[in-house]
Amino acid sequence: MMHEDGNFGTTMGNHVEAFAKTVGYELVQRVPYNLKSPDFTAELSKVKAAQAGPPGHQRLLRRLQDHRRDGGQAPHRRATRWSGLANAAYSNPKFIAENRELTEHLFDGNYWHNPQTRGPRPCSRPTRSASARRWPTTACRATRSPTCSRTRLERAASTDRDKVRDAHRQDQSHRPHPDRRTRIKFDDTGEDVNASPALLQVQNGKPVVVGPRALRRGQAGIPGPEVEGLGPAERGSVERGGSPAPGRRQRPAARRRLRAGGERAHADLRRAAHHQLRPRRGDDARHVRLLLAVRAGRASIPTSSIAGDRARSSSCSASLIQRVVIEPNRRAAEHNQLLLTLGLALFLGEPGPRALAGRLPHRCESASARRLLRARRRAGGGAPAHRAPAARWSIALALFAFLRGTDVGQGHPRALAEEPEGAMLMGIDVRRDPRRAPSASAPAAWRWRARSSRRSSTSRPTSGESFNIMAFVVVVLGGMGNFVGALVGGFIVGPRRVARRRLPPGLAQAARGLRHLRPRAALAGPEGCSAARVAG
Amino acid sequence: MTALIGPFSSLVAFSVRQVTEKNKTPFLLLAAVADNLTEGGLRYIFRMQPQRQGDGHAHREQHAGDGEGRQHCRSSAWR
Repeated sequence: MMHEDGNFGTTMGNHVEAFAKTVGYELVQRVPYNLKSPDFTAELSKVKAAQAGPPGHQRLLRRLQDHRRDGGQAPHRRATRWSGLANAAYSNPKFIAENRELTEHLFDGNYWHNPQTRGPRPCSRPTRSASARRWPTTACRATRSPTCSRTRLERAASTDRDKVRDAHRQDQSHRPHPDRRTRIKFDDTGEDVNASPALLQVQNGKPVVVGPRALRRGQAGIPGPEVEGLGPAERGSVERGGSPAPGRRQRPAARRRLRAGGERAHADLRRAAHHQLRPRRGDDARHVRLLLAVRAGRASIPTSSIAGDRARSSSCSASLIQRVVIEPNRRAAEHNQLLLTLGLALFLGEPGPRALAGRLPHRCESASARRLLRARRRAGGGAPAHRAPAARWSIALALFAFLRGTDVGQGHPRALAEEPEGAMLMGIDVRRDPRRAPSASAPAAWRWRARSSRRSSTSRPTSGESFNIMAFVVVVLGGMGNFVGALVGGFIVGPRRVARRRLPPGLAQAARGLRHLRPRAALAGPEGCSAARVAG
Repeated sequence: MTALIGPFSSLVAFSVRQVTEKNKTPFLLLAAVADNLTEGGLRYIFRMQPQRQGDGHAHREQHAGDGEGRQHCRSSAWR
């Protein structure tokens, strides 16, 4: 902590030192400097020797509480916190503009007027009209004492000092307080009892009132922990959510550090959830509840809980939550749903055209299967062996292991209604059970097609188009998150296959041509045509 | 001279207040915020802006608990 060695600086330093321990700070060093000194090289050397960063008005270092969890083996997690209460830091209007990096997140409440009130405006208006010059808002504070003194002189109706003093003591001015919507009232010691500091913080280059509660317009933001060892470009990639800097290839070590930063961010979010919200089943549940509360405006996450996010200043914005939590999980859930759908369809469907070729009846309508069967018989080979159930179970188990063990499958439990709130955050309609939709789509299509095929002597349920593709079409048509939609899709696709056989040759050819549109539609909207999104 | 307004520095104000008290001149502090300027039972010194302790409390409240639930003690903590 640097402070001047005068009355003001020493007083303030004593307060900060006394308060630091009560709020868990570790005051590294106290460096007083002479107010008349033109050079602060010696003081800055002391600050640098204390492993501090750029010098500021007040600097406090502390270690995050979770550093203790690591057994003190993570020195890179030492968090730096810039603090404020700078003496006239805002007095110069250009101070913030010229020192963006230095003043960001800086607290101050000294000479800046409270922008919540209208007091400073009438102060500056006559001067502005007289001198044709715009007053800085900080100068409005200087008008309070003369204004108050003039009012007391008018009420004393005398220049006698004792009468003026008594007017100050006794009179309660009806003029509004420049800082609050109250009146100026002096107590026995001469202090204004209604005086209240407005704690301001520089956020994105602008002072914002962050305290007290009745006056504040924003939440105080604290810079997040820095990831030691990252260069400016890599640190920037952390702030952008892990994407590499433009034109710069990410190194493996940097990737590992970024992943560690993401894990710390997640841990911080969970810790914030633990402290701010009622615990529920597990950490993930609290995490999700916290995010829901933030989105509903019932809670806020300080920026200290988001590693590397120094750009955001006050409360954790919705875009940040979207970037850090929702988007990765949503992508994982969508990919996972797609794979799960295809896997289930493959498991429930037929073993494939080659295996089918050996078991197809003579009146089979599939030209490709007939050609394949004919070729095999000409080659002297028998019917190909049917894929054993063990092989199918192996495929299913491998798919299950893949979904459970990879990042793609991580979003699966939440997406499939194991955690409804998390699934809703990922944009899945939790009002319907998406778990049953893909598994129900293929049997539904099979059932409806089988019912229709009884009236057709040339159609069998297992013939024609591959069954897993048909199930996929059903799911896309009906919606992955829509159980009813899957049944409706099966009802449409099954009879349509049979009805197409009865069309005139020209119309059947045209309908066959439309078949190419289906995979393109599936690629354009893998979540399904009717999958409603209730959040996102 | 009926009253005195100023100064900016708390160090200067600390010295000036002795003179104004001796001459019984109302002294309105302009920007000096040191806590001890109004101590000592002086009768002619006035200050409208919060003393430094108020800023310190505001800062502490902000860091300790975001000021939530502590507004009931504003009269003592924020003054």
